[in-house]
Amino acid sequence: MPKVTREHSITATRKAAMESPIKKEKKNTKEKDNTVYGEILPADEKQLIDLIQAFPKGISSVLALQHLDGWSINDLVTVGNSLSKKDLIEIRSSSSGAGNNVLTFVAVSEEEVHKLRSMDANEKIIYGYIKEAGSKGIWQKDLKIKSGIHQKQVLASLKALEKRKIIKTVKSIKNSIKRVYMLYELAPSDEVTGGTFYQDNELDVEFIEILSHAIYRKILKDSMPTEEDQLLPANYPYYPTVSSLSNFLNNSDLFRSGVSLDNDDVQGLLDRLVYDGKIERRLRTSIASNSIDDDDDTWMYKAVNTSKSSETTLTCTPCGQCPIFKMCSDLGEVNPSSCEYFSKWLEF
Amino acid sequence: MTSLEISLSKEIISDHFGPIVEKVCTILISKDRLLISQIVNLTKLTRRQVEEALFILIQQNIVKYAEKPRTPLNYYSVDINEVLMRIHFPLFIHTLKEIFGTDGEEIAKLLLLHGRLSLTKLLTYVEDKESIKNTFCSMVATGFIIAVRPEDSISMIDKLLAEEDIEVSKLGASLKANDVNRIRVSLAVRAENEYDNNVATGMKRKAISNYDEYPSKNVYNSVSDIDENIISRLNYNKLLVHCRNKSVINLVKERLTPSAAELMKEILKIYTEDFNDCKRNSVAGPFSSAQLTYKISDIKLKIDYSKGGGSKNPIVDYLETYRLDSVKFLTKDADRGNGDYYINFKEINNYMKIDLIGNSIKEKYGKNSMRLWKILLDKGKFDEKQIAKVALVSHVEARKCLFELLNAGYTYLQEIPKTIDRNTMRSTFLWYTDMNKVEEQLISECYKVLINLKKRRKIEIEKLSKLIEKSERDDVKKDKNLLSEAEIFALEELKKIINRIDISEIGIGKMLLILKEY
Repeated sequence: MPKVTREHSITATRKAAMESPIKKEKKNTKEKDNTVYGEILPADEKQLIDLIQAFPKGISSVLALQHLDGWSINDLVTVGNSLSKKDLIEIRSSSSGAGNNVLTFVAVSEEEVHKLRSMDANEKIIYGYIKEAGSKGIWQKDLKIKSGIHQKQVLASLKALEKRKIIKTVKSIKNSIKRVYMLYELAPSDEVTGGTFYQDNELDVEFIEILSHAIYRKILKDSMPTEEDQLLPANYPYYPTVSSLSNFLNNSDLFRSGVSLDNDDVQGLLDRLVYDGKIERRLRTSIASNSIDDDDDTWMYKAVNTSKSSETTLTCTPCGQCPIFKMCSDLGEVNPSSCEYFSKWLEF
Repeated sequence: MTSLEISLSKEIISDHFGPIVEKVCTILISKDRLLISQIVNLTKLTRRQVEEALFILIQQNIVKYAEKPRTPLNYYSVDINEVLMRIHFPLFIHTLKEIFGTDGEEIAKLLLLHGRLSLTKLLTYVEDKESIKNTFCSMVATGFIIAVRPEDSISMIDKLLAEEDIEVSKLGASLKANDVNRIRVSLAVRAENEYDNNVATGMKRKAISNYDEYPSKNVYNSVSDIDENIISRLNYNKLLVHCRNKSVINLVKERLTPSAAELMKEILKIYTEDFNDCKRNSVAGPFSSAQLTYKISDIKLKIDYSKGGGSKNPIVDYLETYRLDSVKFLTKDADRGNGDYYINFKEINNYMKIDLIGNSIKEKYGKNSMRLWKILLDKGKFDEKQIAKVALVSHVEARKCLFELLNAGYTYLQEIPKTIDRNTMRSTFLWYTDMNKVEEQLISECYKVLINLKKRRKIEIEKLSKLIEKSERDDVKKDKNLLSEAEIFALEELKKIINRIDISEIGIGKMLLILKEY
């Protein structure tokens, strides 16, 4: 390669740096050398990247210009571009209120850089979209539409990324055929797995039943006056609330280890009991509370004395439970005169 | 008038009066107003038979007539509500027995059997005339028996038409296009307002004829005030008010304590005394806790103050408990009357309906279906996935339950298309439920079950008709040994079967009361 001798040119320094690699490998500190993550950089890029790394949350272009004396906006843009091509920084643009597009430079972490170095162009794009989807994950078809890459290539890239354990697939609760891609290290969000009550992609019905029963018994105990025929006064303020029940459940040992319920889960169980007609809600009027943490609750829950059986007379008759009720008429095979269910019922 | 109502009326009339009257009645219900000659043509009965059937039906307050203008002919029409009220006769007899004892029961039975009777005629059917007379008097005083006037045999519509004719003729030549409508509206409003007066004047007029001044309550206690020749009948509406009060008291007893039920009984006694009709009188009160404390003195009120809370006056505590309960037995209205309490029967009835429908869904389709239905009722329109999340059921289960309810008529789907051509693949479907439709659905089911029960009873009796005839013979009645053991056993079985069917009919009658009448 012909030597270019321009003393202060950027390329010369770069070439010079590249020609003496041995020295660089020995010293691996970032501050003294021009290396970032094992790669050799020219001085101006090094300067910019040091500055950006000093601001972990990112530095806007305006602020960068203030720190770097003598740099014009063009210099900043060129150097920034070359750094971004090497995947050392990310450039994000956001528009401020005045309508100017502000560029923010964010440094990319070391593992990321290694990952990105190992991908080709397609994979990089796909990786970008998957990262954007975060813990919700993204469907393969959506990826194809967004990136515009051909189906086969998308598939190939996904396979490659999965092999390298950069991304993983998670089965979605809502649609069991749909497989969703997300970053390897992220835990799938509640939407995908379903939340606390889901176990192995299925609603854990027994678990919910046990919990509801426990809550109901606790509320029942707390709603009873000391004697049979008495009533608790109307503005009795000590009925259980969501927080108190949540504490109660978490302190009992009804659970598998490691599972705890938050207030939303308990609220869901309470709503379920309300719709069953077993408990009812009352507004909390007085400020009196059992412990500090149920100040925020607006509702308290009281057990209801329902009638012992929910059998209506309609369902006592054979017609009430008859599966072919709609077909029953005088003109057809199924009629009240010769109804077998009737005969059995009358024989009791 | 749905076809189910017509079938049910047919069964009821055939049960109570026999096949000839049933034919006449069915024709009248299907074809509305008819002349006698038309009835004869359509039913192919003799004129004599039709006349007698009509006589029976008019006597029983089922058929009303209207005169064809300028001719001596009459149109006859059936009031279907009267027919359907016959389902509740057993409940009425029981209620009157509870209030007035065995005398009341006897009077009720006779009045229902004959449709309408005067006191003199009634006394010919009974033995203990004095006590029956006294009970009759108190029944009149409390409004359970009302008089039948000649105008009562003319249907409401005809009365309104006649009044309209009078008003129109008053205007004479200056009749404009809107006048007829205006007259109709004002007459309907006036009829509504005078309803109470019309009903209440049943017996008061008789008493006034003997006394010149306005009678006080003590007047009715004396037997000689009742005019013995006026024809009277049972007042179904008043009985329904009483039944409604009873079911409210039962509900309080279930949800709260027996002493709370006692208090509610007293409250209802005081504040629904002059209620005459369930639909028109649906709000009782207002009253304040002070007024109530003044009127009620001897009820033992038990409140547990040991755990805290409560006000000093136990009555206030009870009233507040009534108010805060989800059934909302009492409501407090801040705008009218300084925070006094009202009993809002419509709210209570709404709760009873929801409870009834919820329970029948639970029995038929499972707990999950009931939950889903209640959530839809509470929250409006929902997508399938969202509702599965709220109810904490799996999507598969939710879908199954919702479609079952759709087939049964309890839930409905609303389509929201996203494209112009309403492509179903691209539309969202929301589930919802509508209380009116669900009520009607359940009422139709109840009617159908009643029809089935009555038919089955008929069939069972027909199977053993010869045996029944035999057992009704005089010589067999005197000497039971003429019946063999198998025959006696068969008769016992038949009694059991009919008993069971009767009980179910009464239960379904109670359901219909909640759904329709209260």
